Amino acid sequence: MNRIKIMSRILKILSLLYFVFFGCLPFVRKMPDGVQIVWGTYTTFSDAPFGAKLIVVLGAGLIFAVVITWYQLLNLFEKGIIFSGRNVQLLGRIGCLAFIYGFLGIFSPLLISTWFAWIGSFPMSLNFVWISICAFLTSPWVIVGLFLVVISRIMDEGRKIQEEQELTV
Amino acid sequence: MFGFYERGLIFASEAVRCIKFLGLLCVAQWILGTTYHILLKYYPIIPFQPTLPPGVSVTVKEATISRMGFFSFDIWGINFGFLLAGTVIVLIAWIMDEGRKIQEEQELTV
Repeated sequence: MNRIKIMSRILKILSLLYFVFFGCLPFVRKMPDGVQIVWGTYTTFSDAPFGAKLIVVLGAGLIFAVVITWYQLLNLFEKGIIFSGRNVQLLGRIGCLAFIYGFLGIFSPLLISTWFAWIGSFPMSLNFVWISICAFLTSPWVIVGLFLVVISRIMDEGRKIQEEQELTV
Repeated sequence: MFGFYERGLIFASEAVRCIKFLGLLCVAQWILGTTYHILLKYYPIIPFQPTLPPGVSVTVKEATISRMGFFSFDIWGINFGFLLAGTVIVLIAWIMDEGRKIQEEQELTV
């Protein structure tokens, strides 16, 4: 139990330090000739289309939600509360958020292409559909998200066993 | 690991061992990858340079790409993503171990 508490404290501090000092903008890459946002390269961030900026904002929102949930979960582990309903809920939430983040990252080029086709700027590229499906099946975020949801269900079983044991006289 | 879960052996010691092994594999992968990249930095591999005809020259430009993505965890050129993943998986293994202890205690209760 002590090793779980110590590890939780270390992870809390490291997570906080990382996001305070380094932060992150999802789906954004600084390239030598500009900025790559959601698979498109632009000179500056403001040159990106509205759809790409919206996806970056949604991604940042998801990250923020994961960070808060992760912090709450580590707080509970640090207090020694391992198998509780709240833990199960938080872990399941992180899994779902990771899955949505992976989904957003993979299908964002397709969504932007669909948007451009809708407003009549460019025809929709069907290549994105096939690429997105293949990427979805191999995305680490989708796999991690599903794995965490499985772990949350397992923790729920642990919670039931612990509750049953606590009620045993 | 999923084989054990399929049989309903959720808090079995073998399943816990599988998860711990996965976590340690991630950490080992990080150590090997980081060592390789550091060695490559100080001992770069010089690519084969074919003989070029007169008047032809090759210029090699190194492009630096900085990734600002979620969980890229690139700090000073070292990617800490696998280390974090391995640490979290080992933490999950410890938590499952606590569950195993609770289950064993419950099974021994008459």
